[in-house]
Amino acid sequence: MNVKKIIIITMIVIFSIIAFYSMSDLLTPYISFKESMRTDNFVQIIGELDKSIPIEYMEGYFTFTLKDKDDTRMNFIHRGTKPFNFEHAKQIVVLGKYKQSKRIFESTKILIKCPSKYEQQKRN
Amino acid sequence: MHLGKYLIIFSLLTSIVSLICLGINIREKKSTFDWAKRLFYISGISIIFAVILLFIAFLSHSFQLSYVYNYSSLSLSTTYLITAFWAGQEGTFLLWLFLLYIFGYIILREKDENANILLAVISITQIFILIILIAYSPFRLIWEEGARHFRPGMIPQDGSGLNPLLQNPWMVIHPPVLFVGYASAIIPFAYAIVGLLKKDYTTWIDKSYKWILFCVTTLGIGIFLGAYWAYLVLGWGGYWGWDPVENSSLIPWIFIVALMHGVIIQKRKNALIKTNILLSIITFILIFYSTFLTRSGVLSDFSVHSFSDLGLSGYLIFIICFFILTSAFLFIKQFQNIESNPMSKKILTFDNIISYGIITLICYGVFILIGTSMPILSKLFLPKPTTVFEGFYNIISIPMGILILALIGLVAAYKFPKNINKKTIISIIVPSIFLGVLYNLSQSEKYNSSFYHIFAYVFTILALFIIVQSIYHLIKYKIKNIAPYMAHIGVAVLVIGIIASNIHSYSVQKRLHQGKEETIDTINITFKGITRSMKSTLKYSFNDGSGIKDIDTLYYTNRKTKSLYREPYISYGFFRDIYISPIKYQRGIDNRSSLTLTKGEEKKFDNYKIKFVGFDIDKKHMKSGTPKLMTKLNIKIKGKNYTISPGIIIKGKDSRESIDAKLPITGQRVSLLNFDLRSKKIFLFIESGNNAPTPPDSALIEMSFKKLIWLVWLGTILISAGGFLAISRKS
Repeated sequence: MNVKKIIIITMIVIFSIIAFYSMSDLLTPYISFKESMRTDNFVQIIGELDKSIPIEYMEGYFTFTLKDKDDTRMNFIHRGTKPFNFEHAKQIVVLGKYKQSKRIFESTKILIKCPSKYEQQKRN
Repeated sequence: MHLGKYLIIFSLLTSIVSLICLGINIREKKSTFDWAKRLFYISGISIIFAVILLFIAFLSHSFQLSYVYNYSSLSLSTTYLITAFWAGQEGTFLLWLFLLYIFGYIILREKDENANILLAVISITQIFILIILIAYSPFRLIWEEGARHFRPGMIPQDGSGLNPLLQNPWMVIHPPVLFVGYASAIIPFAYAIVGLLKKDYTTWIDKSYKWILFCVTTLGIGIFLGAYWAYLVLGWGGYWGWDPVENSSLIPWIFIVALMHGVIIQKRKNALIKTNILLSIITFILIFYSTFLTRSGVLSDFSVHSFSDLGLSGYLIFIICFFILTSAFLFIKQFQNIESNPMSKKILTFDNIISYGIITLICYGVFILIGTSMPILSKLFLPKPTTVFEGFYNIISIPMGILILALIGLVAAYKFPKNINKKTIISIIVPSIFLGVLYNLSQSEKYNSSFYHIFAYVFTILALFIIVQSIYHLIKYKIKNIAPYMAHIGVAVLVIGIIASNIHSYSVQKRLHQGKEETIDTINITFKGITRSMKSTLKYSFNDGSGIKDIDTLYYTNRKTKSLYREPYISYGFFRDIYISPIKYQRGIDNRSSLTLTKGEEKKFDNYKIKFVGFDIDKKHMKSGTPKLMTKLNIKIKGKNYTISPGIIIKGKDSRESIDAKLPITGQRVSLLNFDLRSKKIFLFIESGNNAPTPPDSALIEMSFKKLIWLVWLGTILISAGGFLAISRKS
């Protein structure tokens, strides 16, 4: 194997390591609300917006409440903008950590699941 | 059944017969090719009629057709009635099919000696799509859907309407151009198959080179158009979100760009022959994989785009497997016979550097592919499905991007290896470094993470190096073929634009109270109010130093979908775009009448101080089935303390009865709207007093300062221009 091939293969291996490292950091499992309240790991949860509790907007963040499929409710705070059609989403996916001391889930990222097609809505 | 459906069935039958004729022609060399051609044209004409019928159906508001009902309405303007054609899956498949007929026609006119094989490949693909169109017909009648409440023969008065997000000019060009790009990927693939069958592995690239360029350019422009649309209309301030739908068109594009470069090497050195065949096969299969990702339901848990699962997943997987197996079979069969020159063993030569670029592009494409497919992959290999987020793509883009830029910078130097002059190189590198460092230092780090900031330097310096060096080469060597230079300069400009608009840009959220001027950065803005119309907008007074302007941002709730639609206001600038996105409009009255309190919290309301002391759960009634929840509120007014107890009787799952209380002195009604025992919060409604002033309406906005974002647009335009130039040179 000539020098060239060795260099190329080494670089590919290095990039793959970078890629897999960044993936493992960001691969987050879906867990239930109850489970997320017991841990302070970075997790992913999915739920429905609890419409009976109003969403509160402040400068730089907003708070909302979601309910699980077993009707567990949890409060969330998200620093950033509210995504489009948040109120009309069928389901909402949130990534972040539950803060036990404040009894609130600090959301880093929100994904909306909407019923209609070809809609591009996104927010970090 | 609608005439359109008959046309599609007819088209399918004629295509099948045509394919049979082609098969006979190819295998037994009998002269059935002319019949195959005629049947292809007949099939094509049938589809042209079907396309015309669908347009007519939209324009004439034929709401008995499900597709027309779902995507249009009486009030939709003519332009969007036409674009509604490609608003949904059925229509886009029909569009794709139609384009395949156009391309097939063009190929046949060139009277290639292997037209039979080319046509066979196109026909097989068309038959697959025709089968989809029969199962999910754009012409199916609304009462054939079963679940709907439409009796046979009952034509709805009006349609559901086209999603407002799609009712803008970009809808006219973005999907069609993108589909032209998608559809054209079949041609290089077909030529590669010819090469494999005829054991001629070199002529196919000469014949398909302009098609490869065409595919790179049109698919690229299609992707860029999507980015402009996102930025200008969708209001989240970005142009690329690494969303699966976006990625699934980017991935085949990366591979066909790699193929384009591979063909350049093959033409020069007769090397990389196997690689190029593989790349053209992979690109074509990725087009179907992208179709699979966006049209099946597999990613619906993980994408903000919503996919209605038409039940196509299994069928699309079948098509993908079919093409993988047949191409793999042909490729492996011929593998030993393909003679290809090896690449030079030297590390730095013009062709070798290009080949490193090809490898990098393939790696980048594979990483994005794995990331995008993670929900599917994780379902198979991990206990729970997971997904990969933007951060992943941003992280891998750093080494990939640096490598690509470095290689582009290197390759021009090695085009004229004898002329590599240390002095010239240094005189290009030094200003690039100087400018790059100066520019990045001048940008405030205040709002963005310094992790990415260091790479900003590297990227800017490399990009500037490419630009300076390319211009130098163009002038010094009087280059005639400027297309690659233009495209590469475009890439460099694009990269600088991306760095500036992401790393150096920042945004501020501010609540604007009506009539009160606020200052954000150097911008003075006053919220003036909301206009009352079907499509209401929020109005502002805006002053960026060049005078006061009246601006507005669209902000209305669509009556049918009940969704909120917003559009940003963008003040375009040289150094930066000022991007104003409305987040939330609140009427003062709403603020006035509602109050949220946590246990122990006290808030001011008009002249009252209201404190939520605690819950009072009536334990006796809990067991009898109609629990009562009371709250204890402490009211302070004019120095005196009062206690009131609004509450709720929970009669059933959805039935509640309020027990209202009254504010002392004024008697304003206080209702408990809702409560949350876990967070100890209550939500109150308080009736307005007669003399109380209404607080002002407010708009919560996000103002973003997008630096040098026009470089992103310029970069994409230069890349596209380079593509067009290359195509015109080949014609």
